Amino acid sequence: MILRMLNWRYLTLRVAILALAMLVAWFGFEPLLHHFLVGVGQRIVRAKIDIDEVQASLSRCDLKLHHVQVANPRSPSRNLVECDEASFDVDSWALFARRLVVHNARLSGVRFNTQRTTSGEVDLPKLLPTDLRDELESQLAQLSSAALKQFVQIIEQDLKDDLVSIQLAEELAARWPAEYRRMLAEAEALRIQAHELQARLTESTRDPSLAASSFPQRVREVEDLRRELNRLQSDLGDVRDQISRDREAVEFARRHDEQTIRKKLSLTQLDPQELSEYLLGEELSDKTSEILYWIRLARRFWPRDVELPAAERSSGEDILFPGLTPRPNALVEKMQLDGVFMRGTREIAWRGEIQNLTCDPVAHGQPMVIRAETFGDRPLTLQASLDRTGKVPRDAVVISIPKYPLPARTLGDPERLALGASAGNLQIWAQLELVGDQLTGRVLLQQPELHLTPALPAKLAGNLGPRFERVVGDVRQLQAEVLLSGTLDEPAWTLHSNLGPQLATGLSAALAAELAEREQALATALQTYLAAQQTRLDERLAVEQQKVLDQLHLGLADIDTLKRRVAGRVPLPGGKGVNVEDLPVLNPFLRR
Amino acid sequence: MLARMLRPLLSLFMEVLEEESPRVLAASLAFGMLLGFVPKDNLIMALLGVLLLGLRFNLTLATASAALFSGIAAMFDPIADALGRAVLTHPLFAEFWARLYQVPLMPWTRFNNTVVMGSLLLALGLMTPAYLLAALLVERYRPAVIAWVKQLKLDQFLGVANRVGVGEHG
Repeated sequence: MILRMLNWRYLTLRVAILALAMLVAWFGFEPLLHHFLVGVGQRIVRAKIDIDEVQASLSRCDLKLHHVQVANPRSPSRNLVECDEASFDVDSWALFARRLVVHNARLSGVRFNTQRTTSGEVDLPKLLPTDLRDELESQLAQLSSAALKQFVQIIEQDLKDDLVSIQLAEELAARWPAEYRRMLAEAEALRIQAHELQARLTESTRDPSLAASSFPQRVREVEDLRRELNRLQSDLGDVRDQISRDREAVEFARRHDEQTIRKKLSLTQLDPQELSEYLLGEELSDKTSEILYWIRLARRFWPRDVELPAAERSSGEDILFPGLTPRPNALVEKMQLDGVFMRGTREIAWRGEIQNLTCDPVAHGQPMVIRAETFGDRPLTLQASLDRTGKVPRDAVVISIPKYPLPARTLGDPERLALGASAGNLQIWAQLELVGDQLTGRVLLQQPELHLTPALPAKLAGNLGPRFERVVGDVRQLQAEVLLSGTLDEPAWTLHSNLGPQLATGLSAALAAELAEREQALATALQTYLAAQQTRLDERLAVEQQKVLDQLHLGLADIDTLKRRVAGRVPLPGGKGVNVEDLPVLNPFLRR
Repeated sequence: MLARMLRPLLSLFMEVLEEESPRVLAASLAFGMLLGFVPKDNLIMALLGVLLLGLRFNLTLATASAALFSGIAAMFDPIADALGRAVLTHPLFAEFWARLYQVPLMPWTRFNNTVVMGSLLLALGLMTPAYLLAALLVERYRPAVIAWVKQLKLDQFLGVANRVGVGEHG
């Protein structure tokens, strides 16, 4: 039946079409593969992937990629990773079984965080949340020693406004001279009135009838003047009493101010834990957050469940027949890597190996293992296990840096209190474990030969510098331990170090001594200031008072003269003078 | 424009109706249905493609049929999934399927997928009835359809339309 259906004319034509299709497939294989790799890679990374050339040999079952660039989804102008050449030795028998098994892969010239010439952004939703390092740094900003903060606040505070005695003394220095000046003006005014009254009396002697009629008026005026002068004398006495009382008030205020100074300059004891965090927090957070960042990135790129594009039709289920072992569709058994990474301006060579890299770790049943080491003056070894074989992803990382040369640096905030740490080699060892989202880990650091020097702002350096030098001189090495907990998104950490306990007591004593000295100096300065203020005021008041007294005496003398003139110049009808003793109306006046 | 587009299609339609035997037309329709039903990302599809090119089918009709049934097949996926699962997980065939799966290149056919197996079986099952029905319909209605199309004088209309530019506006 089939043979009878064969139409050789059609067959020849269609075989030709088929051959053409095969030729297109053969020669179009590399572009198709290029398209496939870029498409799948970009969906996973969510950033642009560039491959300069894809060389694939179906006969030899090998694949070579030239100059691969994977953009950083968080920073599209940079590459997350870039490599010069990637070669894959594919298992041809596994291909027959519809599995991609790479026995050996080699990535050479691998570099991280390199600059891109074009943007690495792709039009896909971002998956990475906010910058982890930023979060950690913001946490770090909250780490500080409360006692040190308090100390700096104490030093920087302006106590002048809180000292009542100074305010009171200044107020008195302004008030009482003004009061004396007012009294002096009044005394002078009375003298002028007395002179005017004398002038009017002289005028009235020319007209006896006018003198007689104005006599009661003149008597009243003289009486008023006398009364005013007496009042002024009394006021002067009151002022002297008040000044005396005010002096006592200033003295009382001074004693109160000394209490205030003592209270304001008291300092709580430095907490060793807080001090460690304050001094080492920034230095350790950089290293710890970098490790966490890479784990987080690894979590993103090797999730437990690989996200697959939605199918147009129902995809059904691939049945695993009894007796067959589940195997991953794609597996790289071993991948060797080498390259360089930049540390500042220096290139550091490294090499590494990844085992069991697969898209289906559950089927493979073994965790992915990463080993890496760097060379040069700061060697590093890393061993990581990313286990996605169970329901809960488990990651474990161990990093060891036996010799990490550190330049001389400043620990803490130079605006408050900082310590200059000498250059030396730091030993770092870190172990982190992540089960699900739960993070646990330890980071240990040690600098065996350490010399610390205090680094204080100029305003504190005076006496505090030598005191601190004596305290920090005893510290010969740095040991620190960071304990990590919490989740990968919200890591929590505590820091323990020998620095805190070793320095806290000594620094507390130094700070307390400094404050005691400042307290004493302040109290003395206050006393001196007030005494000087008082002396100046007394001298000034004595002068002012004398002026007022002089005016009052003059005024009284004038009144006496006036009294006599009034009494002697009263004309009687008939042209005779009158005996003043005979005038009862003048008696009270003359008696005074 | 319209005339330019319709003319080759009309010619093709007339050629299909007039020149091929009813059995070839029916077989092309049924084979196209098979192509349409089977998911495309597997070796079975590639083999069916080779058969399409190698055997004497009417390519036009088979391709049109495949396109038509591709759309319809998605609606049958739940049935295909159930059918494929029943066959693939039946204990009687378990050993056979396991051995077959270990034959080189067989995994590329994705026969172990429930939808692929179910769709294939469903399409194979429907092929004979579809062939017989198509043959019957072609046999019975082809002369009438050819006469009706000729009566429409579409060719003449399209020619005129082309000359006066009706098609340009239509």
